Amino acid sequence: MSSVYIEALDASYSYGKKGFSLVPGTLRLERGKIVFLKGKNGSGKSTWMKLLAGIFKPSQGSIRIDGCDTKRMSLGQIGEKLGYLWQNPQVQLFMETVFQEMTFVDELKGLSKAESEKKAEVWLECFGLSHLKKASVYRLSGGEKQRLALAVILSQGAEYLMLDEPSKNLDEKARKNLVELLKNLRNEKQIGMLIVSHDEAFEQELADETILVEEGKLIEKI
Amino acid sequence: MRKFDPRTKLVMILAISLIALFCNDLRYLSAALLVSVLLVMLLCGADYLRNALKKMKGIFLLFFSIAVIQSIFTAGEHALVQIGSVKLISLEGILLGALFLLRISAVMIAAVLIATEDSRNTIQALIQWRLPYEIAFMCALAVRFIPLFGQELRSSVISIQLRGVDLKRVPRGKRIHMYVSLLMPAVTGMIAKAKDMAVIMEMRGFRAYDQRTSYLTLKLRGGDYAVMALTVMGTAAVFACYGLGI
Amino acid sequence: MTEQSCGELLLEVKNLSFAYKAETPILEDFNFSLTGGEIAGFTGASGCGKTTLFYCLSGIIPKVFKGNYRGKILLKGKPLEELSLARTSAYLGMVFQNPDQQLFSDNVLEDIVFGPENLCVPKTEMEERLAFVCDLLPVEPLLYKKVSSLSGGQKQMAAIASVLAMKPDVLLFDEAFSQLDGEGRTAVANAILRLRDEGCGIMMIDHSEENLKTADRIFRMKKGAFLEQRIY
Repeated sequence: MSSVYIEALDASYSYGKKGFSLVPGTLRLERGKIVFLKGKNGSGKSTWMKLLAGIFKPSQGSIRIDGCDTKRMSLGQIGEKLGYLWQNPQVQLFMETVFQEMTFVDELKGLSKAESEKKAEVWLECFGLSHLKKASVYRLSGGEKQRLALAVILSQGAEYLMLDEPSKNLDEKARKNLVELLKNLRNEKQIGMLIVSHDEAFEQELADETILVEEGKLIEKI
Repeated sequence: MRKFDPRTKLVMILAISLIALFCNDLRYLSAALLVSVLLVMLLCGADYLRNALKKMKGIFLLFFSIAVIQSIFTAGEHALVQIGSVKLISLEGILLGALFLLRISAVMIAAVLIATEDSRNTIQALIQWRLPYEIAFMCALAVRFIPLFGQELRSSVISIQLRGVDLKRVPRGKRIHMYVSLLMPAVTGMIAKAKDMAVIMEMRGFRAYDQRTSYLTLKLRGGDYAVMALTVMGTAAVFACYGLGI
Repeated sequence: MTEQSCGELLLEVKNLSFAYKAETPILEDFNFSLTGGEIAGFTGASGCGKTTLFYCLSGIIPKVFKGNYRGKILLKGKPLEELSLARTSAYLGMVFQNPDQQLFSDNVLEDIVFGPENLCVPKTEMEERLAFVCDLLPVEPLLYKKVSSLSGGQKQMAAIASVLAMKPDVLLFDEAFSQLDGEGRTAVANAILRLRDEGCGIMMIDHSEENLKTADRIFRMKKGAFLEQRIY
């Protein structure tokens, strides 16, 4: 099994003729390594992440996830391999209650009600959300939504994680918990991660490599 | 192409809508549709019209279905398809369906004219026409929320797929159940978003006073007056001809 | 922001308690005052009541979110319950956590002038406020950009600028730094210090005490109670 899980080969993306464009770049992301993307606001970090995750199809070059060209993959096939955390957690939360959010997709995938509920209980406990099982998702605090979105993503069992500002809105305890969890996933399950974050302490604790993004260009590995 | 004031565009849309609403004649409605298409091509470009029609494909399909249903269930003297004594499709029915389709198409395509305008400009146009500012903002925001609902549902479906659900492999029955299950949360989410937006707007002073000042002021130019005058005269002429049975 | 000097009592909170319906109180007997030229920081675990406190101070609770509300809040000497949310905005501005909720115009300029327009600020003064905000924060390059094309951090900067353009006497920042890069954080921190020097009363929520280092007082909250207050 190759250590390279995601590969960008002279890939680029553009938001239309007058919109922002990425400068074509080549990048290889490996299993079992945590890579941070750093750069100023508006430099293209989230755009690069969406391109590498296959959410955006490249306008030039190619992106391969586990050897497959993303142009030939559906979102569902991508979702089976990657876990993606959006910058705004509300974007990926769509059910009415916290418990429904955890169980809905698992039941669609064919898990029995009992199995999906058991799995949900475990992950809600892990993220300190058990007491909010019946709460309305929309009315959770920012930090609670962030933890729920993380619980949903990490419970999928993805082979690679793309996390956009995962430590945002988290208090000290939740941050520490997340750092430990991500380290375990990397060390024990060889799960690779690409993380966008402005949190320098978070980066210092986790990053194996850091790549700088400047005006859409992948500049260097720091 | 010269940029017209949003009030000029609103006058053009109003004129076409009035003709579409009150004229019950295939020739007049066809002409209204043709004028709509030409105006959009002239002022927004053929590419914009093409993209707008692509986005409206679904809704036009719906209107076409309504037109067909109308044709079938309308009684008329000249039967085209008859089963026994039951006149299934009549000439009058087809005419009614066609009138409906032309009418709605003319209005929808004309409305594309204002879609190219910045919503704040459209609001300012309504305010300068003495519409109370709360109503002007309400109209603009309501229009904005309609596509947002579709976006909410699309975002939910994307999120579901990114959690590893390949929709092609989900059985049809389960897929329908999935879409139905998403409707209620999407509606709840939209209502909550609308409520939050109302709070934020109030916290920025909206409706603190009966009046408000404006950073933006719209000014009509010679070309705007000329086009508006032509539009009004043209509409009057159309109604005069229609009234005279021409 | 009306003419005021540092030291003027801007906000007074007396015996504030709040619970959503019949649940455990989120805030219990909270007493607090804020003067012009002061920065107060609030930190604590997620769900301990920090944002709820800000909702009470801004009037959103109990006007929008109902519950068991007791106590009194005076904003520049006026009882908060007597002011509508819209009229409160002339004195108090709040920057919320999620910038997507706070921007509703097509471009950034329209969002920034929206508040002053509502407060019947004359156009000449609006130009001055726009210049003021562009001087405080790096938003000039963003003015004519479509809000939908902005990154998360740019949206947050635009949202902050929109509130500052209203020149309120009291400013509430709920996790204002969460999506900003290093330069953005420095710019907002400097803007906050400048506003404080001009007599504004400022309250900030942040999980990271690093972002609250400019505060004169820091309150650590736990489940509606205030565990400690550090004064600098």
